[in-house]
Amino acid sequence: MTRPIWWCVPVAMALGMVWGGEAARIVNYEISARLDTKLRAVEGHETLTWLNDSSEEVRELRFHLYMNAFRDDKSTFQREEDGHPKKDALGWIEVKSLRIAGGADLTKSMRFLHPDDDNAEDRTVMAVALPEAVKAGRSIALEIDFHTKLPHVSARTGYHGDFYMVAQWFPKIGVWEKAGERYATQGQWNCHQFHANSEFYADFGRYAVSLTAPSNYVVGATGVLENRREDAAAKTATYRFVQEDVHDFAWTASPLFQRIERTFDPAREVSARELADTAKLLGLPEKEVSLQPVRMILLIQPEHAAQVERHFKALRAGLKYFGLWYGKYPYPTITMVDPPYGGGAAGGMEYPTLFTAGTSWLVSERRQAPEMVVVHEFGHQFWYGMVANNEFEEAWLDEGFNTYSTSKILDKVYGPQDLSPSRWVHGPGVNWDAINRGAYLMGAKTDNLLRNAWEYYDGSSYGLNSYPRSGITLRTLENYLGEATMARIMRTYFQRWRYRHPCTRDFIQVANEVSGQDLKWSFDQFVYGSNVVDYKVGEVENREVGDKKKQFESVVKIRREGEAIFPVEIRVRFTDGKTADRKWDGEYRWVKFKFTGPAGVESVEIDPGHKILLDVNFANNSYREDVAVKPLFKWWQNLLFWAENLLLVAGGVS
Amino acid sequence: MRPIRAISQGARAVIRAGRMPLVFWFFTLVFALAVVLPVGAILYGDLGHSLYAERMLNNFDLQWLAEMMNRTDGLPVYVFPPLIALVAVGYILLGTFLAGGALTVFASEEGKYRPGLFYEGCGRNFWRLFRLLLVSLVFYGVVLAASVALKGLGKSVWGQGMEERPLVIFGWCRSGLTVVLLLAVNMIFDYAKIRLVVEDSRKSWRAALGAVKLVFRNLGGTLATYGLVALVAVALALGYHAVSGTIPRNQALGMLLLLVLQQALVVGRIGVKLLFFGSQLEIYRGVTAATAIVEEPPALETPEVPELPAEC
Ligand SMILES: [Zn+2]
Repeated sequence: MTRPIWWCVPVAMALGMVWGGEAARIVNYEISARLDTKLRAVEGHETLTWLNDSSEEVRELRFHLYMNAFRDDKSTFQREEDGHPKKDALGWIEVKSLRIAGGADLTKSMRFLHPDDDNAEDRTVMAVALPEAVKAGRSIALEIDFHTKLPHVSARTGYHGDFYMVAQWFPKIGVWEKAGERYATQGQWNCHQFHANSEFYADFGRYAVSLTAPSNYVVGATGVLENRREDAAAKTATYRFVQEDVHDFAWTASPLFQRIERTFDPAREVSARELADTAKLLGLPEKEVSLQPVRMILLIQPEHAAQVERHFKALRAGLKYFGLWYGKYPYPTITMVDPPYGGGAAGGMEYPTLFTAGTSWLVSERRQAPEMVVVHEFGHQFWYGMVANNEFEEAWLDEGFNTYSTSKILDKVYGPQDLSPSRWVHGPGVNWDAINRGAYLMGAKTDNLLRNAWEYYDGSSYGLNSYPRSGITLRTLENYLGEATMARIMRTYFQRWRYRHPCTRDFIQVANEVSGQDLKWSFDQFVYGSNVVDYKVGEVENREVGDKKKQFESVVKIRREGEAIFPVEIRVRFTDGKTADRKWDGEYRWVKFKFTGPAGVESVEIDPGHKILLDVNFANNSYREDVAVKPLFKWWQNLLFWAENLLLVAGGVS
Repeated sequence: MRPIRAISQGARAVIRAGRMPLVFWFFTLVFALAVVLPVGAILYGDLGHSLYAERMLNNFDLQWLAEMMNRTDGLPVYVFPPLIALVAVGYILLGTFLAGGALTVFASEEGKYRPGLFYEGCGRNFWRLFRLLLVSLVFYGVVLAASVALKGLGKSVWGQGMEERPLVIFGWCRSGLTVVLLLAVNMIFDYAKIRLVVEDSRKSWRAALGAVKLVFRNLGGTLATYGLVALVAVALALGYHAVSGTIPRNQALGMLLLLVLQQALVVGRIGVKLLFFGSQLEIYRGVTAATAIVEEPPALETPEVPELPAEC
C-alpha cells in the first residue's frame, strides 16, 4: 500500500472532463421497418454506414443476428437455457439481401460463425467477406433487407398478445476493437454469440428509424420522435425516431398503452443546497454538476394506472442522483415501458433512452417493486448506455456498477423496504446493502467476480457475481476509501469513459489515480479472485493482577478465518465504559492485543461500522462476556409462539 | 338444538373438563419445543456472545440467515423442513389420540376430566379415529385437487391475456372457496369423530358418510354452530393483537408479559378446539335424540283401565 497522493485528484478530475465528449460515430443506421401484427414479424430495410476508425484494414464484417437465438432449440442460447420453445413461440431473423451501396451483392458470401463455442447450429453471428478491404479511416455503406419473426417474449424481446417489445431485431454490426482498446493488441472483431447469461456490446453512432405500425397502436422507441404520418387507407402510422450517440435501438408498440408525458425540471428537483453539497463532495464548481431538463415518457398498462406517480417519482430520483453524482443525462427524452401481464419476460431491460420496467396490479407501497426496476434500468443509461463496457465479457462494469448506484439511490430516497410477499403482511425493514450482501452470501465462493458471462458456474452465479456481489464490493471500497474519494472516482470514470468502451483495467486505473493509492490488492482479491473475508474474535482473557489496586490484564486475540486480507479496525470496550480502538493490517492469521487497566474487557468488535460488507460472517466479528439474554429470549419466545400456532393449524385435521 | 344453546352447553362442558385444555397445551408445547430447541441452540451458539444479537433486537437482520446458510452450506434447508414435517405428523397423530380422550370426557355423564377416563378414552378410540383421519385426508385431498383444477381453469381462461386483474380476483374467489370447503370437511369429520366415540363404533367410513348426512340434514344448525365458534377464535386472535400491541417488546417485563399472553392465546385456541367438540357433541345429541324419537316403533298401548271393582 502507498500513501495517498492527493494532488492526483484534481488532475484526474480535470483529465476526465477534457476527455469526455460526444461519441465517435462509428455506425450510422437508417432503418425503415414495418410491423406485421398478423405474422408477428418485422419487415425491414437498413442502410448501415460503418467507419473503420482503426489504423488497420478490415477485410470482413461481423454482425449480430440475435433473433436467431430463438429459431430452434439448437442455438447456443437455448442449449444454455435448456429451452424447448413451442413452434409458435419461435423467432428468427433472415437476412434476405446484403450488398454494398451502389456496389457488389454480398448475400452469397454471408456465413455463420460461432466464436464462443463449437456449436455449428448457432446462427447468431454472421460474417461477410468483403471484396475489397475497408481502409483505415474510411467508411463502407451497406444495404440490407431483413425479415424478423418475433418470438413470444423471451430474453426481453418479442410479443405477448397485442404487446410488442422489439429489441435485438435488426442486423447489428459487431465492434471492431482497435489495438490498445480494451484488451486488443491488434485490430479484431468482438462479436459474441447470444448466450443465456449475457447482454450486449455495440458501437456508438446515429440511428434514424422509420417504424410503421397499425394506427391504433401506441409506439415508443429509442430517441426523439421527429414526426408521425398516418396512412388512413392502410390504417397504419409511420413514426420517425432519431438519436445520436447511442449504440442500439429498441421500440415497442401496443394498442393498450396509456402514454403519459412529464418534464424533469432540475430547477424544481434539485435544491440549491443539494447542488452546493454535491459540488463540494466532488470538488467541482456548481455549474459542472447542474442538470438539464428531460422529457419523461411513460407507456403504462391501464391496470397499472394507479402506479403512474410511483414510476415518475423513481425516474426523477434516477435522473437527479445519477445526474448529480456522475454527470447530467444528455439526451432529450427517456421512455419507460410497462409490459403487460404475461409479458414479464420483456421487463427490466435497458436500451438507449428507453427501458422496460415491470410491476404487478396490487404491488405493496412498502415494497420497492416498480421503483427498483425503474431506477436500475434508468441507471443503465449511464452504466451500459454511455459508459459502454462489453457486457459479454465484463458484466460487473454495467450490472455491478448499476447495482451499487441504484442501491444507494433507493436507500436514500425510499429507506428500508419491507420484503413481505404480501401487502397485508409486515416484515422487518431491509436496506439494499443487506439485500445485496444476503444474496452474495448464497454463493460467495462459487466464482471469481469477473468472467465471461457464459462461463460462470451457472446462471445464478452469473447473477450473483454481476449484481449483488459487485454492488457490495464497490460499497466496501467506498467504505474503505471514504465517500468523497469514491464519489470522485465514479464521476471521473464516467466522465472519462462515456461514449467509449472501458474495461476493468481502465476502472482500476481511474480508482488508483483518483484515490492516490495502489488498490491492486483489493481488485486482485475481490474482482479477479473468489477468496472471502472473514475476521473473527478468537479469544478474550481477563486476568486480575495487582495486590493493592485492582488491575486487569486482558488479552484479545483476533483471527483471520478467510483467505482474503483486508485491513480492519477493532473496538474494545471495558467494563468501566471506556473504549480502545486498534487497527490491524489483517495480513497474518492472527493478532493479539494486550491491555492493562482498572477494568477488564467487556466486549470486542471487529469492523464496528460494518464497513466490510464482504465479510461473510458478522456474527463472529464480535464477542461479549455476558450472554445476549434479551434478544435470544425474544426470538425463542416468538419462535415458540409461531411453532405452537402452526402445530395447532396442522392439528386442526385431528 | 339451537346453536347458541349448543355452544353454551359446549362451553360449560369445556369448563367442567377443568385441566383438559392444559393437557393439550402441555403436549403442544413439548412438540413445539422439538423444533424450537434446535433452532434456539443454533441461535445461542452463533449469537449468544455476539454484539450482533443486540443490534438485531429491534429489527431482525435477514443477513444473519444468509450468513448461516453460507457457513453451513445450506444445511438448515435439508434439516429443518423434514424435522418440521416430522413434528407436524407426530402432532397430528397426538391430536388424534387426545381427541378420543376429550370426546370421551365430554360424552361421559359427569363430564369431568379424570386422567383415567381421559387416557382410557384416548387409547380406546385411537385406531378408529386414526382410520377416520385417513378417510378425512381423502376428503381434504379431493378439495385441494379441485382447487388446483380450478387454478388450471383460471389460467386457461385468463392466463394468456394481458391483464392480471381477472386472474387475481379469480384467485381470491378460488382461495376463499377452498378455505370454506376445507372448513366444511373439518366440520363434517368433527361429527364423524363424535359419532365414533359416542356410539363406540369402529366403522370409520360409515361414520364419515353418516356425518355428511347429518350435516346436510341439519345444515343451518351445524353451520351456525361451527361459524359461531369460529368467530370466538377470531375474537380471540383480535384480542391478542390489540393487547400485544401495547406491550413494550424489548424490555424484560414486557417480554415476560408477552410470553404469558402468547401462551394464554395458545391455551385459548386449544379451548376453542375443545369448544368445537363440546358444542358439536350437543348438536349431535340433539339430532340423534330427535331421530331416535321419530324412528322408535310405537309401543303397544295398554290402555290404562281403572281397576274395576269386582262385581258383586
Ligand atoms: Zn441491469
